[in-house]
Amino acid sequence: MDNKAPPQPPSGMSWALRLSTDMVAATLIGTGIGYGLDEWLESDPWLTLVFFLFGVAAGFRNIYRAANPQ
Amino acid sequence: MIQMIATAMAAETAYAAGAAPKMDPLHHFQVVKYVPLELFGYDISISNSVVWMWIAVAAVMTFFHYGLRDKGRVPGRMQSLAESGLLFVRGVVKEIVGAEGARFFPLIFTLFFFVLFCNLVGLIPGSFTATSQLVVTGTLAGAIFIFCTLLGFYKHGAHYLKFFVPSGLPVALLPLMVPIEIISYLARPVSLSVRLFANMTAGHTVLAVLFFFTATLPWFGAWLPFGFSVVFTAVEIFIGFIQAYIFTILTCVYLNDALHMH
Repeated sequence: MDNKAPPQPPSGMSWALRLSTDMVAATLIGTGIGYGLDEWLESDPWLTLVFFLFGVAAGFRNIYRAANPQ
Repeated sequence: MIQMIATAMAAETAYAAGAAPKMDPLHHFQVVKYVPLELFGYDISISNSVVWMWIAVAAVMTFFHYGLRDKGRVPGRMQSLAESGLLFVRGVVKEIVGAEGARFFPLIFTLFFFVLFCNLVGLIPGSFTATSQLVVTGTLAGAIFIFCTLLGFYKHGAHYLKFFVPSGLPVALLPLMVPIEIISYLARPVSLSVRLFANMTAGHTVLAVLFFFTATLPWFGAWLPFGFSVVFTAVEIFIGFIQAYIFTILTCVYLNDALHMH
């Protein structure tokens, strides 16, 4: 990506509203993928746990990316 | 069809008048089918959600029809509103996507004004907020997600998969980072749709609770929720703008990611 100024948030409120759902959505998606894999591979509950952690990490990654766009 | 809408509205009024005062702040989120239709086993009924989306689209078209009707050198009130809306969306597209974004300006513009007017039209008492339905926001976000993914693969081919591999990372960390990147990519449509849906639903529920208190409390107590509901309606108008803006900005960010991979 070329080096341009990150888009300026119009207000702190919209910024906050944006970040909270990013975090939750990633956690949910991660847990969902883990649960689906567990159902498929019958490895209950290990993949759910692992992918839950992946989801949390992805949530933090989202927030990190939103806070410092490259 | 008008007659059917009238019947449904009469039923609504009868419900409101006949029922004892009982708190039901979620009642106005109920989807009512006006014209039940089915096509190839899919339910394509015309519901209140559909009707209010049409009304929102009609409102946008009327707004721009009157705003851009007389192209005065010195713009009138409607014209300057319409022009500033247009310039605002163009500025957002230009700032985030860059020069290449001009091709996608009609898409972003339509999205912004559709979401904005759905939010605003939903604040009219007795109306229905289409954006408070997860199906509606989910369809919008899912379409954007699929469009951006296809655009990325069309533009970069298989190189687009590099999107999931952060550059400058030791190979040992790849098994850890690639799933995280994929999950973070898949979470985009979810967060996009849930954010809009949750904000609209939450705001309208609070308004409904305040209205209920205003209607049922004795006069010496009713002025407090009444005052709050007036203030909160203003907050809801602001939220409607902010949410439409966030929806548009994030669509632009995803488009930019698909066009220029980082």
